[in-house]
Amino acid sequence: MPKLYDYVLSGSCYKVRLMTALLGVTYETQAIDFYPGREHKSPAMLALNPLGQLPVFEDYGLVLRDAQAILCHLANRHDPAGTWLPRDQRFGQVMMWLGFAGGELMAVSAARMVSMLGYPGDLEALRAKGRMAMRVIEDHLSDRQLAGGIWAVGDTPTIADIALFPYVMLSHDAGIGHEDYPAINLWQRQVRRLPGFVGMPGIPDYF
Amino acid sequence: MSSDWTPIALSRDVPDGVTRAVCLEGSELVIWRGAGEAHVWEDRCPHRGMRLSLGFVRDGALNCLYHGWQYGASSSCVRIPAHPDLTVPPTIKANAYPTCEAGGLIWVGKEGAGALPALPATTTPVLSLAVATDGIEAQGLMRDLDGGRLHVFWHRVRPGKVMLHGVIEGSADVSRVAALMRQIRTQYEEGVAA
Ligand code: FES
Repeated sequence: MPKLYDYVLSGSCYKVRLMTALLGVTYETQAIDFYPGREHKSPAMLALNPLGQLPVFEDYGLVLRDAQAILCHLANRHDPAGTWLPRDQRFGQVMMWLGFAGGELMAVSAARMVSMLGYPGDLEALRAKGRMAMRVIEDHLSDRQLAGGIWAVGDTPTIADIALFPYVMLSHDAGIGHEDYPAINLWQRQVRRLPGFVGMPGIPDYF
Repeated sequence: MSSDWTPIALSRDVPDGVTRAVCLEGSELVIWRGAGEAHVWEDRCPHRGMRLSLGFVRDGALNCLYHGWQYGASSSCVRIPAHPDLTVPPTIKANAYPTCEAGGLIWVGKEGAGALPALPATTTPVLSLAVATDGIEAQGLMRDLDGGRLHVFWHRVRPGKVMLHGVIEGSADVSRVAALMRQIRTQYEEGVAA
């Protein structure tokens, strides 16, 4: 059975929990005491991921790190229909948004760690970067909606949506509300309505 | 233009069943739509102060996410799930503001607000766009387009930030007008707008 080394408050671990739920993949979890225990930096965890980060996902004898890479793996091995990671012209665009979700958008995660857990860092500078990333997403999604779409890429949800969703939602924890983002507001509602959707602390299930 | 009414969103962006948080002059508001009708309330549950915009719309009522208190279109609390048999006293009420829709926009009014300003009868919504600037020209800034006209309305979010609301009167390529609105945003943020 696949295994997720998990921290419940981590938006990156949540990407994996959400994707497995949407695909109906059963797996076991091992809870890691990220805060305050710093267990992700323990020798046992560093042996699994020398970067000392969560999530780590074991499946088919592989030990995978990086939430975006794990999303690709899940789509590759557990989505026989291939809709979550399309292999046609949408592939490059999905990859582009995965890179953004693991890159620029992580400013929101960093701001959240400073804001919630008291990590060291320049909160205002991180929030400004986070808002820039949110604006890029808002502009993209508003163009998609003007063209009659809703999802980040193409006419169906892809792992691009799942990679973007957690930190867009958790921006509230970083003090970035959604007042500026009407297109994000409509998109997030559709993500939460996907069959099998699960929330996390700070991201309510759909009612 | 009358200042009794302020445009705070495009009607299109608050379809039935949707809540939307908006900030107006530093106050937090929630817009929600049930049974086709848009409502603008203070974004604060009378019970323990939870943001109502995080709640959900069901059966034409807005439900608070925290303890599920349910508020009807009149803004009175109609149900408290922890006390299902209780007739809720009418004094338990969300704080509602005068609301109307015209020109493709949702407007919030002052108490006793007069008539709405004259607006184009039919419009095509473009975008609501946050802009880091202290204010722009008078309400109803216009740009002529091929075959139509862009009307840009706005509300002030707080000092240093406004939200533009663009609608087209007549016909025009909406995606190109969206790009034009983002150029206007850049001009204001770089301080080069006329
Ligand atoms: S705070 Fe809204 S129901 Fe309790």
